[in-house]
Amino acid sequence: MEIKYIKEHTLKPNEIERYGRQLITPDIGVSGQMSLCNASVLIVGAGGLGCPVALYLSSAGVGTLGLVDYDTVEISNLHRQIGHRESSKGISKAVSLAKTISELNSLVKINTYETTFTSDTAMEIIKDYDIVVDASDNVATRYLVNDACVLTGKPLVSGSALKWEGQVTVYNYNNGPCYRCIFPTPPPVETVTKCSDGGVLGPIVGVIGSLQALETIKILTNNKEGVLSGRLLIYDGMSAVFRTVRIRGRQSGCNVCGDKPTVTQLIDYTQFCRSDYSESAGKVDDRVDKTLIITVEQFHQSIQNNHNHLLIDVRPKIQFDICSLPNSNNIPIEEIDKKESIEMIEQLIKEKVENNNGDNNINNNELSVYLVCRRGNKSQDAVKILDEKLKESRDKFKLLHIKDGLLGWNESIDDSFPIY
Amino acid sequence: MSNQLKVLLFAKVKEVLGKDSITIDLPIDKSTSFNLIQKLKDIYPQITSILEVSLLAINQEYISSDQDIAICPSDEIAIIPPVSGG
Repeated sequence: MEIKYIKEHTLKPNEIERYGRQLITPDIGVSGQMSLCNASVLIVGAGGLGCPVALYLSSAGVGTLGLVDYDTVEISNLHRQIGHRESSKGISKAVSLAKTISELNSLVKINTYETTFTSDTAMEIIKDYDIVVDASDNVATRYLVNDACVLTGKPLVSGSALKWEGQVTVYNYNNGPCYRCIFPTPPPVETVTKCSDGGVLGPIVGVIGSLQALETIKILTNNKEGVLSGRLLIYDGMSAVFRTVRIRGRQSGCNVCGDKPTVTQLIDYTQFCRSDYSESAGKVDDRVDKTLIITVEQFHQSIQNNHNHLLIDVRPKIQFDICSLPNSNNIPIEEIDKKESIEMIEQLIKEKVENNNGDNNINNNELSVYLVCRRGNKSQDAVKILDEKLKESRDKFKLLHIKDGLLGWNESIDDSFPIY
Repeated sequence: MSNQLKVLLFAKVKEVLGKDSITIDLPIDKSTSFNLIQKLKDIYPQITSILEVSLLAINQEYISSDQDIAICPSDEIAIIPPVSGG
């Protein structure tokens, strides 16, 4: 047969057509594209970061993608998790994202893991992949992914985002630092803000996820020099500023990648970080005395009985503005221990007590001061603070935090109350 | 004589203090990274636990917590707490 053309590589004509624009990009070329096509990348988390990472890596032709996520798609995910669709509501995020990317590029092999990435599952999942992308949303998973990558010698492309900001760096690459070299101690639980509490914008996770995809492509195509290792890129979306901070190199004293590591196999990261492998809100445990707790049902009963009460909503104003219960006073938790707030509460209590004495329509009961927030978490802190700060007048009223908060109110009393 | 040092705040420290930068006064002969962190803890005790796990960067260079270096007003000083959301 007559030779029609010479092609000294195994990229097929359909791949050449599909990847043409990136194939002709400097420093990619045939060898770069072949590396991508033969590569396997594990993405931990199929949410705000995982979606853009998976979309870009699949469209770039990465041969095999693994998607890990235990969670299911909710409508409140869709403003930022651009790999999911309304029609995927309630189904596994890993499966939903796999469906989207298989429609984008059917040449890519996708493995889905509808499970929590834990010390028990991590090593078995990770072993088949060349690179790991941390697109998770919680501290415990970040330490777990880091240690698993160090123990298996795989580069880790790490991204995180919250509100208007994000961070990106590459760990455990080319003798660079690992996550623990930079952050040896997990942050105290109370200092960690989750996206579900602090909020996050779609384009922020979009930018950070895109940068993670790009770093992954650079590593896979052997563009070593420019890889974001030993540097932390910080994106401040509000000011439109990117900063790249040189961080320290690999630490010989690091507990996992150092010369004498103390962590030689995966540990229990929920214990190490004192938090779960998820950021999900869920029910909040009681941290205050039983006498300071009221259920949403009891609270509902009490206001229906026209029981004299004062309702203080301790959410941030930005959340209070979305929706609140009638007759509630907004005093955010951050301000509740301030002198002005205490004085205001004392004044409100005084008015209510006087009002009670002069008004026969109100059941002549002791005043109750109720504290409410979204989930019944911060209202526990508030109840403790007020119990202490209002010591002198504590005999005039009952002080109670509403367990499960407004989410509980929505669940048990009024399902039309908007939930965010 | 004192130095006015502008400190850029990110993530949780920005959230707690409610602003993206603060100015710290330090005597010229005491303008060092140790004194800066100590003064931040003194003025804002509510961020002490976050400072323990945050990065200090001066002119986009990480400064280790055991490293006491001189700082001047023209330096870009940044406090960078870890972010874990995604």
